[in-house]
Amino acid sequence: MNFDLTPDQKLLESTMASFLKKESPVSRFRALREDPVGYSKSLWKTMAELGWIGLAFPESAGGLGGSFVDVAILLEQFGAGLVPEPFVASVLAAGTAILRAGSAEQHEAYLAPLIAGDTTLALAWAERGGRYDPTWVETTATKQGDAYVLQGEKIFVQNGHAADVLVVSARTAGTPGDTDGISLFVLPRETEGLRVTPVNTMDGQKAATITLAGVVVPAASRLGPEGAAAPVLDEIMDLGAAAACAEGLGVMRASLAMTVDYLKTREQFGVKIGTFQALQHRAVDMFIRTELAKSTSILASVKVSDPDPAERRFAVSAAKVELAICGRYVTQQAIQLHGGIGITDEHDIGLYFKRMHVLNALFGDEEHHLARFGAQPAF
Amino acid sequence: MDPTRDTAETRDLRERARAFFQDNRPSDPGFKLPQTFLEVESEEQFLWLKAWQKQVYGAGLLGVEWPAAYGGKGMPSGSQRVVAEEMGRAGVPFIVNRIGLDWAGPTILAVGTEEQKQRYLRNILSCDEVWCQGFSEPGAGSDLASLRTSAVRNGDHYIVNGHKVWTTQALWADFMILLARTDTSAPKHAGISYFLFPMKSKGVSVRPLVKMTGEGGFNQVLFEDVLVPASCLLAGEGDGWRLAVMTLAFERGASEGSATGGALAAGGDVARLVALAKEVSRDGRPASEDPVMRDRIAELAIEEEALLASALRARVPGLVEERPLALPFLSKLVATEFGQRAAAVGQELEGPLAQYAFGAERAADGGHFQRAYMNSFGFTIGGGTSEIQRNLVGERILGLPKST
Repeated sequence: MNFDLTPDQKLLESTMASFLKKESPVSRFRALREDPVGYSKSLWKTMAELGWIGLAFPESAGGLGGSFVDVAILLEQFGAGLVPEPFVASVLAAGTAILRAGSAEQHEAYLAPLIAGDTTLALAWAERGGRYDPTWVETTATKQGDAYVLQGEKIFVQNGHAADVLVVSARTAGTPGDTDGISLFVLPRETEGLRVTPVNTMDGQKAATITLAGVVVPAASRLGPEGAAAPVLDEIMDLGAAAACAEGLGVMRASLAMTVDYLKTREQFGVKIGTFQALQHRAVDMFIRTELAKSTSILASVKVSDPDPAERRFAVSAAKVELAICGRYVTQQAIQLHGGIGITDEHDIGLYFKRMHVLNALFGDEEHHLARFGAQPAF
Repeated sequence: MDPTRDTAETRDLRERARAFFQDNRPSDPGFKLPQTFLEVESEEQFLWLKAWQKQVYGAGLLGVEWPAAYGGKGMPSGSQRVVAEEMGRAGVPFIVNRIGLDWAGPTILAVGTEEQKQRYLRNILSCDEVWCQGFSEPGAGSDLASLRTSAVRNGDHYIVNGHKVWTTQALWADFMILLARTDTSAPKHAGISYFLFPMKSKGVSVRPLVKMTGEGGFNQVLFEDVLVPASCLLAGEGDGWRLAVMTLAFERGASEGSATGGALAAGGDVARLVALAKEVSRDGRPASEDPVMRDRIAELAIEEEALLASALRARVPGLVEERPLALPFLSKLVATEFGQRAAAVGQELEGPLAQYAFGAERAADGGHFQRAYMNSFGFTIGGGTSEIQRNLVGERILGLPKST
């Protein structure tokens, strides 16, 4: 187990941090909250040119063959700067689905433009009845000759509101909760019968509800063998959770830094409020929580690529629980220690608080991962 | 522990340690052993533990990071921790001369003369000489620098008078790392000196204290015109505060150099909680099958994972660059509070059985967690209370202004 970053990774980290600091101050996200897309397609293109999207894909698929640790370095910067570009949705969720299940032709058709920064993608996996279970698929795909007819509804589709291409899970056999019988289909946004309803999430970002009312897709749009997509979705759930941990770490670090700065400058009773021991100890506890979450997040970043799914789940669930506990504490206290200004929309600290709230809910919340951790045979 | 965390160098040591502790697990001594080095209360216990330490040292598993010239093995930093992990896994008794190994020894290694290193270090490892610590006084707890025990120079000697408290193992100790005031006119931090004080000197009396568990272990030590050679002074007169801060950093695990590899505080043992959960019942089935109890244990297991991962990170300088010393600083604070919570969860698992006194016939796990819970406060208070630790982290790491 190596916890240290390589010299290349350190360089990557400082390059990413300085680029995003300049190109994506928090004021940019603040303004984009009013934008129907909610992020910048031109900055997405620039990120691609910098090689950030390619980082997550092997060279055989036209990527740069980076590790998940490289991706985590990037996402931590996304968290620290509240960068809204849809990296997780496009690259880790939909991108991994196409990479793992798709053919070479499908890689060429969908991953190449993604890696070039010309498109964004979305993965529609969640359903109303399924909470965090990707095998809870009520949406059906019924074979009709050389086509499938898709019928159903998908919720919380990250980047669903703006993606050029959607990957949708649908059941070709079995009943909700079955591991077997789930297939993935890749659909251009303009496919007839596909209805996209944008929804606002609590953090000022956007997602979509997708309804599929008798959508006819050619059989060639299926990714991989029929009915065998569950392991791919399972891996994506872990990638997404590990990504949330990395991004959440950035949120926590930024929240802590802002709060400590505030304690050093704000005056009440004629002194800096940071001289009060009650507030100092609270800040120290925020610091402790941030460091503990960082430790488990690093562990998850390394183990999420482990070939043994049990190792992967163990580390990722531990990290997601720790993120929930620590991230909630840090951002709650960040608001509390800012006092009145902390609850205004005008102050950035609330934006971080809300982002953490959403990150906790993404790809499995505390309760979900605690149960999953406890169910591991190793435990 | 995950063996993938080992380097090629530590793998061999781990295997040797694992085999040794497996083959040499001590049999039941026929009397109650203390839970940690803070609770040694009888000579019977002490002598037994001393023999155990000798055996472990004889197997080449103690002080492995110390230089060979002083009885160590000169192995790289982090090696001793591997042994400590294997001891924890094997569930064998603790190493008794902890104050010598982890606090006095590393301080002597850092600042002692060659003569002092030759004189003291090897006997610390072999347990031929046991050490205690004379820092706290009845009037000097968290405000340690206000201590009043005095050492007055008289020719080639010092004359020591005063009163120390919370002195673990003072009943058997051969030496004490003693803080005493050598200059009453200097500012309080400046007038303190650090002595390697021979406990068997005339005029030293030791009075045991009884803890709320009913156990002994702590003592008061009184000094009445005790005459000790001037060569007992470590470094120079007035260097005491600097050296005390150094010793406390070793005590917290904030500096490498420990001869035992440190360990989580009493109670922080998730594997033992899992075993307890299988033993006790809730709603007519083992508590280990109860979803609420499972969640409580899973939370602790995750936190233990975070602590272990943080301990590993602390050894990688690159990861703590932006806040040097931050992680090691936290280890004492976080691990001791974790140990306290873990022991409290043990009580919850037991339910009504938690009322049984330690050692009562029907107590679950012999009442281990009752005792661990009460003893856990010794760790959150000793070596600088959790509150003092938070003051230090706030001021030195987060750079907050000094509190008023």
